[in-house]
Amino acid sequence: MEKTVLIIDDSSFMREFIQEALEDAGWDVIGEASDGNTGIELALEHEPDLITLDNVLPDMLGIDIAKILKKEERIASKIVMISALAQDEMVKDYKEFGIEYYLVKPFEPEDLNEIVDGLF
Amino acid sequence: MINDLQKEVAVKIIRRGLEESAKSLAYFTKSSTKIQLSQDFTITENPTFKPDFIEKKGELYLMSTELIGDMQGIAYLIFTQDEVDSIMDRFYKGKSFDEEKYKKKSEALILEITNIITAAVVSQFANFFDYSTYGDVPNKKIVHVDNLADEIKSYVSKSNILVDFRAKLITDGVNVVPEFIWLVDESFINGVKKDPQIH
Repeated sequence: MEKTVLIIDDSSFMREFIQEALEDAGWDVIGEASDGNTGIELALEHEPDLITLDNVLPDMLGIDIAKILKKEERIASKIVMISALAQDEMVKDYKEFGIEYYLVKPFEPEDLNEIVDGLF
Repeated sequence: MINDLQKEVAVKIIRRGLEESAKSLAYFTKSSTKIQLSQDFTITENPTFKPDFIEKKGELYLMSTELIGDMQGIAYLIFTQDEVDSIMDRFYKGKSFDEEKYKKKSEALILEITNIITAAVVSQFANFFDYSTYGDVPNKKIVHVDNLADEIKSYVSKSNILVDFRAKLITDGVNVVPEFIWLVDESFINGVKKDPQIH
């Protein structure tokens, strides 16, 4: 059975880029969200294996979404934050926010798949 | 307001930030990219934008990203339609889209490029000054060059801008030279004065 992924990113470019990369590697993209609230709703509804999460969304920050989802016992999703922000405090401390990996943009599709492979 | 040594540090920090943004642009244009600071920086509450302050002509993509957190201000990236077309050509080489799809894809691409290029600079500033700051979701406006100065001044008039620096990102072999304008508040100067961490 294919593993499932939810993509949360306000950029339609990035949603498509991530979708193509993961689908090529056999992932089932079960949903996409361009804002945090929709992303949380979809995560609770589908309980995906993986969530790729942008850090700056129109309605909230990705780290806040990660904190909310990690409090939900039934959500076992692994979270890869994908952000253009490369602040030391974020890149070094992402695990404190319940995030499994912090990937700084730009990146190649193979980079994402290698990281995801390492998580499962 | 700042001494020569602090000015030297400020220029170094700006250059380091822009170098990171040049690397990000190179990813999309598939060509090496260098920076050209068109002015080191000025400290002024009233930055001037004379009619010829940029070289581009006609209708322009005025991409803007507001800074949030410890450092506030705005970053503008300015592209022509030809530059956007060149980037599309380089990034999606060999692929063709109908007119409607091309428009959607080019807008999405240029917004993401703005996001990534601006964040590259913001991240460097945040690290140097140990600030918690980031760029908001980017915006796009199509503005005629004749109205560009007024558009930027309208932001300046409702904010506390104190530092102004401008640069070009010059790609090699591709006709893409976006202009970068940064307007930030006094936190930049305060950061320079408090011994930033230049690695």
